Amino acid sequence: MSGDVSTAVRPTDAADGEDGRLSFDAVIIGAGHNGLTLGAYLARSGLSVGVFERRGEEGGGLCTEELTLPGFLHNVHANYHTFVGLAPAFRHLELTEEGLEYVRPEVQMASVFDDGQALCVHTDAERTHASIARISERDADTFRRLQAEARRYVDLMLETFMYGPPVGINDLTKALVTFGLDKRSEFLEAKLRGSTIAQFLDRHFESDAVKAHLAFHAAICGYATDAKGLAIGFPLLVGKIDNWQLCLGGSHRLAHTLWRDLVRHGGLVHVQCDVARILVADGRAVGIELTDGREVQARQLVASSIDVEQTVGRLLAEDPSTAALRAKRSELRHPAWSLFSVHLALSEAPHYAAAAFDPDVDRAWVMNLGYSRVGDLIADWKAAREGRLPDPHPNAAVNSLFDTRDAPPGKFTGLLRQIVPAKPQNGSIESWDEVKDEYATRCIETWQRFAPNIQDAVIASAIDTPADIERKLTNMRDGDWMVGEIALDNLLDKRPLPELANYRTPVERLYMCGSTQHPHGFITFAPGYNALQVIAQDLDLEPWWRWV
Amino acid sequence: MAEVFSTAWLAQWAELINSDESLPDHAPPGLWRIYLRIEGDSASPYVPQDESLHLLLHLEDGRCTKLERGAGPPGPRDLDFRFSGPAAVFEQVAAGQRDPVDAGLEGDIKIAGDMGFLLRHAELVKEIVDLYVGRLETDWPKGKPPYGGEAVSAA
Repeated sequence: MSGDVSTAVRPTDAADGEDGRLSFDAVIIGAGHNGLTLGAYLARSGLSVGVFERRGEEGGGLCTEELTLPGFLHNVHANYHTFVGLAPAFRHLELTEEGLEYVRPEVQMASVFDDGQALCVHTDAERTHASIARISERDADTFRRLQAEARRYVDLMLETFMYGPPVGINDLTKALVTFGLDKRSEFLEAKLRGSTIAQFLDRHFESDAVKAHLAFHAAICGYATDAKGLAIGFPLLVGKIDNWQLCLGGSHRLAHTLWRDLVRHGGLVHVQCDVARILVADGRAVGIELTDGREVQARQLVASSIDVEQTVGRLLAEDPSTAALRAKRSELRHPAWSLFSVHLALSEAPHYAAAAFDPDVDRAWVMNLGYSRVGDLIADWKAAREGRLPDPHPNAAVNSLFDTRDAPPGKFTGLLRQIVPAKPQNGSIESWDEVKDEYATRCIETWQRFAPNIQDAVIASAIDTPADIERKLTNMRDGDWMVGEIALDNLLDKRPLPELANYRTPVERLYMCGSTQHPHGFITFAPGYNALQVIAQDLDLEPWWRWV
Repeated sequence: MAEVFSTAWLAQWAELINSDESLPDHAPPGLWRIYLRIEGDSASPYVPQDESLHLLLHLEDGRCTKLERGAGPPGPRDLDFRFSGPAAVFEQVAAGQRDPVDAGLEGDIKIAGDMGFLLRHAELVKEIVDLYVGRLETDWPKGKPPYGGEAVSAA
């Protein structure tokens, strides 16, 4: 969080190498959670690790700031953590033993609809069933079967699709056929690679509201409802639909915990240290040069957790071995849509009109405000891609319902987040500055429509547009919070480019370990963890994290 | 007939693998080391509770070059894949009562290693598993699974 920079180490505090240069076994560019994760594993493996970060604090998207008023802690970017307890890093790096705390709200998610009905997803599957059954008994039964099936193989799917080198989609579908998955699974089948999430939902569910809620859930995970092929990932999403967790004290606590683990094992994080270029000698990465001219030696490896454009285009601009990659920068895929956030300081929690239908909506964490049909979502995706501002259907979250530390006593923080075009009217991303105030008002009005007391509850607000995302986190070009489009032909072994998909680069001992890589952005720890496997192989490190 | 998990039973399995002429066609070149950790549970009479059997299977160019009981688990450098789970589940699979793919999908048998490799060589994996299921002539002197519970038929 802001003001926490004293916890990170500035370069003058670090020991210099023999020739006066800073020197580490491993130099990592970028202190987002993937860079920190890789650093923490390498430090625990006995390597000296230096992480270099442009911003004034570690964490990247894990930033928590008093955006509205003193005492109101807002998660600027990452708010929903869905891999808690699932990502190997939680176990290997003993994160919860470091004091990291999460809460898993009992009412995980809810949809409130224009007709006054509502639907809730609970941590208790039977309560979820009962909630869906009020809208459609058949869909409630179908969802129960889908969730039960997905839960059975979620561990295997995570291991296969997230925490390991990427597999090819053709290998995947061939294996599904070889193992007879089509015959033994009601929901997982090879033809999903040609289906959209909307088609999957139409195939299995009958109620518009239920389908809208499930599509909404996928959308918050970055999965467009109408993108061909993404249905193949949908069962995995459902497998962890009830694992949405809130980091107590703000998302930055996670970054801070990773930092602490790194430092405890001898690593250092250098903040306000912008990297100017990666030093290459005889085709091998040997260090970095900072923008202030200082050089840092990398005795064994350099890993970049920032985007490909910066890594290849700026930091390796003079390197001949990556010329072919630089020429392919235009092939890097970023979505035309992004997220528009309104952070609010509130005098009271929202009371939804739909609580008359289901009182649990007032206890829900992640709210869908008004997507009643899958077509509503598809219309928003279409508008965003065409540069039009959709009629707001923001998702809303009041973290203070579950974490009283994030606001003064009796007060609440609120977050509204809406799918929007990265560049409104297909202009420049900066044109957001002209329309943001009016659009924020429309988002708040939508919330008021479903929770009338919000009208008088807003004490202060702060807006975070796609332009703001890019300004703060240069990694997220055009507000691309997934650092690369979520599309079947930009995932797995195609991400970010086939040449970079295995975390290695044309420069020996230079690795990519950020959200550009498989699987994608979000707080997964996976790009850092997967890069570790490749590095361990190349450096012949003892893989102490395996098989535990 | 040999008792499940016995030396003779493992030798029989190795022989089955090596008598399969199509396996080398599907196998990747090189040595692949597979570790089966069969964990004693309250149900199986063949592996004491709180103890584990450590079976090591080496495949080289599609041929079984080692299939034996180890004294303990191999180090992480000495294996490529690990399959682990309760003895009763492995025994049900060997008896043809439990579908091995379901056991893996449902997490009763945990799989760790390069999952991409398993997917790329799905046919090889399926052939080896099929040899384990049903074709091994097994003696069950202490009783045959399921042990008081319901068996789940193999596909």
